[in-house]
Parts: sequence; structure tokens; C-alpha cells
Amino acid sequence: MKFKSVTVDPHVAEPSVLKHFPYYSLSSQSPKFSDYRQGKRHLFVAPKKGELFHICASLDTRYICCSTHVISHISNCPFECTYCFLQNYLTDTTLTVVADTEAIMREICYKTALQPWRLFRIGTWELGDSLAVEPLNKFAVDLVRRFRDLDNCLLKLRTKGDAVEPLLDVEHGGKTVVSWTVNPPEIIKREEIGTAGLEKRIQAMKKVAGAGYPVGLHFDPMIMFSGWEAAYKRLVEAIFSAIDPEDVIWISIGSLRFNPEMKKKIENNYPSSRITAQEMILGDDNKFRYPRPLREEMYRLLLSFLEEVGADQCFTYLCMERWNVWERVFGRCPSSIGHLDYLMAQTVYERFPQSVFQKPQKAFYMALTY
Amino acid sequence: MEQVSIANSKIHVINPGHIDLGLDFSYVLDLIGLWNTTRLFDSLEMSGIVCPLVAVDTDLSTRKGSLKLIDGFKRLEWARQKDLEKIPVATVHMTNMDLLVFFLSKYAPMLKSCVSKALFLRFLLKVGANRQAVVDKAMKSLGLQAHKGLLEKYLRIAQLPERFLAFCHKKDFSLKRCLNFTYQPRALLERIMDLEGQISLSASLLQEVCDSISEIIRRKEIDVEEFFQLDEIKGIIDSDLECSYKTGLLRQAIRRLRYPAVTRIQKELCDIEKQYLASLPFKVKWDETLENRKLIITASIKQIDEFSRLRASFSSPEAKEGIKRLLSYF
Repeated sequence: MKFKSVTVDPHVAEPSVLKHFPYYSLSSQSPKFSDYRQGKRHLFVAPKKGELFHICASLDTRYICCSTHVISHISNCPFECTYCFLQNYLTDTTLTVVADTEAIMREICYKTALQPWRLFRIGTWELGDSLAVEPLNKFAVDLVRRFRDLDNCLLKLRTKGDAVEPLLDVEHGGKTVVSWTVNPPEIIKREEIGTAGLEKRIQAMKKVAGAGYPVGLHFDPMIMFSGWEAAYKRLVEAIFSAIDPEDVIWISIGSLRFNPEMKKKIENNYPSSRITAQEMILGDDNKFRYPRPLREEMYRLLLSFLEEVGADQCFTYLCMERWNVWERVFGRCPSSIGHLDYLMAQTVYERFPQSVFQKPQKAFYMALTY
Repeated sequence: MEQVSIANSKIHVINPGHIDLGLDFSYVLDLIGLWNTTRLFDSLEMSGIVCPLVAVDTDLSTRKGSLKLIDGFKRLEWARQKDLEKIPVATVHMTNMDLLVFFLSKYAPMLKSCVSKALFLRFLLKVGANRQAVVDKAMKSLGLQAHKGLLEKYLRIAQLPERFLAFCHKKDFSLKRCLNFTYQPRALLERIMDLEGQISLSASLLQEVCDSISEIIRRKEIDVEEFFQLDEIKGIIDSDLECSYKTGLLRQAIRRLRYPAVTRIQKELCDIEKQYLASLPFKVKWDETLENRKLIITASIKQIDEFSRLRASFSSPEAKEGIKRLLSYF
């Protein structure tokens, strides 16, 4: 995809970034668009202002959260998923990338050094896709190189695309996880506009697994539609006929959720989408979800499909779900958010020892407060 | 046309049929029930038209030879009913801004509801008032914030079906409530109005029913009329039941269609409660969204000896079994 315009802030600290753009204009102001979809076609390269490294904004102590950390250096996304929360979130809709890897890394190093015993999982996908298009994946390459030497950090790239070529020859040292959000082709076609098709995503997974990267899978958001059961079974089979469960570091599962304002936005922006027309309940966290018994049924069924293909050895967790759902789906539940953080570090230590520098100490994680 | 000049206006005596009604807002006032003509018509029967009607000669009067009436719409209506051949009409020249100020002074003080304000703002734009002037002057006169975005919201509301607008005005629905209805299918809002009088339509019920029906028709991929032909809906609407009872039944039926899984499980939970807990001296409540595993048990006592009985009831086999079964759903 080509951008309609590229604007570079003259205060960008790394002039080398400019070589990625044959044409650009200089301005310290990003172009303004009222429609967030318009903003997806215009790139603004910005300097780092303020802090970009923080814990995932979805963390809520009512759920058992994975407490991943994020670098919010990408804002907006060239893809157009009907369920994307960005349509109700962004005030500045121009696709913006902070092109100052040095400053970002300084912030990460400083903050992660404060808890040297902890394995920080750090994503770049909070407000956009990590690898959607050029030149985002070039920025990702810079980060991959820098994370190789960070002892207690794992970089998590997450995408719905297939632009992984720039990553393949990079020395990553096992310190970067490349992850995909996956859904059946029926959903990709209708609800994940502009993203790579399932087959392309799977091919890209094979490539990064071949290059030694741990792969992450996110069955999130699972979406109900007529025939969803068979569709998710085919999805799991398609993925694991191409990649080895040994290469998959973790699998997250979640279901469609959005707040009431988002619901209106979706119905307004995508009137032909039916995702908001299913039976959904507004919970005390002000989010619509499928009723809990239906979600549990979805999760259990997906787990059974994963078991059938031998992927039950991968660490599997739920995203934004309460402890009772964990118990009913897995028959067990981490005792706290810190405990889940520990379990994830432990699974990395056991299954991908090159990705972690020391055995995680449970007591430290259990003492974490949120 | 006979003509007499007085100061900067001219008084014509003309045929009522030659007057242009393009600047008529009174039909809106009729629609929302703000205009009661009974007393005016009684007075006209007694005295005839005493004051001349007022028509405007502005750049809005584009049709050559036509006079656009701005004051006296009901008197004109009466004159036409009486087949009068001639009525007095004063014509004045006004700029667009003069006209805006005139309309504001004439109508703004009587417009209190969100709907009446929405219709008035749309009227001003329709008759050619400058958009910025409407934001700056009209919105302020109506007690609203002078903001373009707010104007757009009011204009959205003005697009709702007429009968529905009249209903919203009658119930004095808020801006937020009215705006919510703008997201509903038009055909649904029109069809719901057919039920007025048959069911008790409060603001919250109307919102709930519209939200639910609109989701059901999207999910089932049927149209509004097909929804109302569903057996479980048609049976209730066509029944001769009393209004509030019918409302309750309809609400339940719509809820079952919208939340089939949740209503099924709620029924199972209620059945457990009836079977095991109904005879015990405490009440058990659970999270109706089914999200949280938490039972709330309440009891009230007046005497200390009741406390012993209450404590014993908690330990009864029925209580344990009932609570165990309820918790197993969460």
C-alpha cells in the first residue's frame, strides 16, 4: 500500500529514517482528518515526545490479565478491521510512527532495569499493526536488533499482514516473538479489510519460524457466525498443518468485545457488518460481550481443536476474562495477574530457553501489584 | 391588487390563493401540538381579520409576483376555509438577516423541547438562512451552545419520521435520547408508532424495544414487518389484553428473541431457586448478566429468635443444594 502523503517532523532525531521515503514534506504538524479511515492513508513521522513504554492499557484487575507491556510508537493502522477500537479512540487519525529508536530504547532500558528479575514482554501493537506496511517493518527491524541484547525483555511484534521479509535475515537471538491475530477466512474477508488472507499469514508464519523466531498466535477476537465451529476447526488445522506447535510460544484466546460507543461506530462505519447483531451482554466493565456461557463454549471448543493437533503443549491463556471463566474453561486459574506473568515467563524459560536469561523467581512475580 | 403604503411597508388587499407559504413554520407547530387554533378561529368568526397578515419581499422571494407569508398562517387558513376572496396583507422588505431575527423573536421563546428546536433549526436552513448565522444567533436564542457539531446533531434529529418526532416532543425526550433514535431504522420507528395506545411507551421502554428489535432484525436478516409477523410477537399485539399486561408480555417476548441464551439460563436459575429456596426465609440474587460468580443473599429479621431460625435455614439441605446448583452456573 502506498501512502497518499508522507509528512516528516523536522525534529525527528534520526535523519537516516528519511531514506525510506522518496517523497515527503516537512512539517511539525500532522495533517488532520476527521475520518479515521482517511488518516490511514497518510503517514506522519514524528519525534518521540513523552513516555511511550507502559503496561497494556486494557489491564483491569477484574480480569486475569497477561500484563504485557507496550511501546505505543505506532498510532493508527493501514488495515481496516470493522471491530477495531481505534475508530472510537484516536483523536489524531493520521497514521503516525515515532521514528526515534534510540530514544525509545533508552526509555525501555531505563524502565526495565528497575526490575531486572522480570521478563518483560513488550508489544508494539497497541495502537496499530507492528508489520502492516513499509516502512513500519523497517522500524520493527531496528527494534529486533536492539532487543537481541536486552536480557530481560522479549519484543512482541503482532500483525494481520504478511510483510515479514525484512525480518528474516536479522539476528534476533530468539528475543523477538512474531505473532499473528488469526481468524477464519470468512471473518478475514468480511471484517478484516485490507489484511493478508489466512493462507498468506500462514506462509509468513512458516517463514519466521524457519528463521528461528518464536511464533505467537492470537485467536482474538473470536467471532460468532453461522458455522463458526467448523470454521475455527479448519483454521486450527490449517495453521498447524503448516507450522510445528514446537515453534509456537503462546496462544491467546479472546472473544469480540466493545463498548457501547464503539457499537454505534461500527454500525455507522460498516453497516453491512453483522458482528454487533449477535446476542451480547453489557457487563459491569461497560463492554458488550457474548454471554459468558457462549464464550466458554467457544473457548472450550477451540481448546479441543488445539488439542487434536497437538498444540495443547503451547501456553494458552485468555485475554480480558475473569477468573471464573478461566476456571470453567481450563479447570484452573492463575491466582493473580502476577502469577500469570510468572507462568508466562516460566513457559518461555522451559520451552524457549534462549529467549530468557534466567529462571524466573515466582516470589518476585507474586509480589507484583497492579 | 389594491395597494396602500404605510411607512416602509405596503398593505395589499389580495386573494388568499396568491400567497406563497414557503416560509411556513406553523405546520410544524401543529405537528408537535404547540399551536391551538380554537380560540383564534372563534375570534375570527366574531371579528374577521382585524390586523393585516405580513408577507415578506426579500431575496428569498424568488418567484416573481408571489408574496411569502411570514405572519398570519392560521388567519390565512381560516380565510381559505371561508372562501374569502380578499384579505389584507402588509408587505415589508427584509434582508435574510432581518428575517432570521424575525423568526427568532416570533418562534424561539415558545420552543422548549429538543424536537421543536431541531425542527426550527432545520426550518431556518431550509428557508435559506446562513448556516453560520444559525449557529451564532439561532442556537444562542434557543439556549443552545453555538457549535456546528451540535447543530448537526439537531439536524439529524429533525430527520426522524414526523409521527415519531411528535411523540418525542410530547414526551419531551432529551437530545441524547432523540439522537439514539436516529440510529434506528426509519421503518421501525414508524411501525412502533402504530403501537401507541396499545402498549405503554415510556422513553426507556421505547429505547429498549427499538434497540432490541433492531438487533433482532439484523441478526435474523428480516425486515421490520417480518419481525412484527413473527408468531410470538403478532400473537401479543393482536390480543385484547390490557395495555400494561400486553406491554409486559411484549417486552418479555422481545427479550427472549434478543437474548435467547441468557433468558434460557435465567429460567433455569429461577427454576432452581423455586425448587430449593422459595420456602426459605432469605432471598438469593445473582448477576443477571451471568458474568460474575457472586450470589447476594438477603434476609430481614425483627426479633432475635428469628436469627436462630435464619441461621438454621442456611444449613438446611435444600439451601445447600440450591446454592450449590446456582453457583455451578457461574
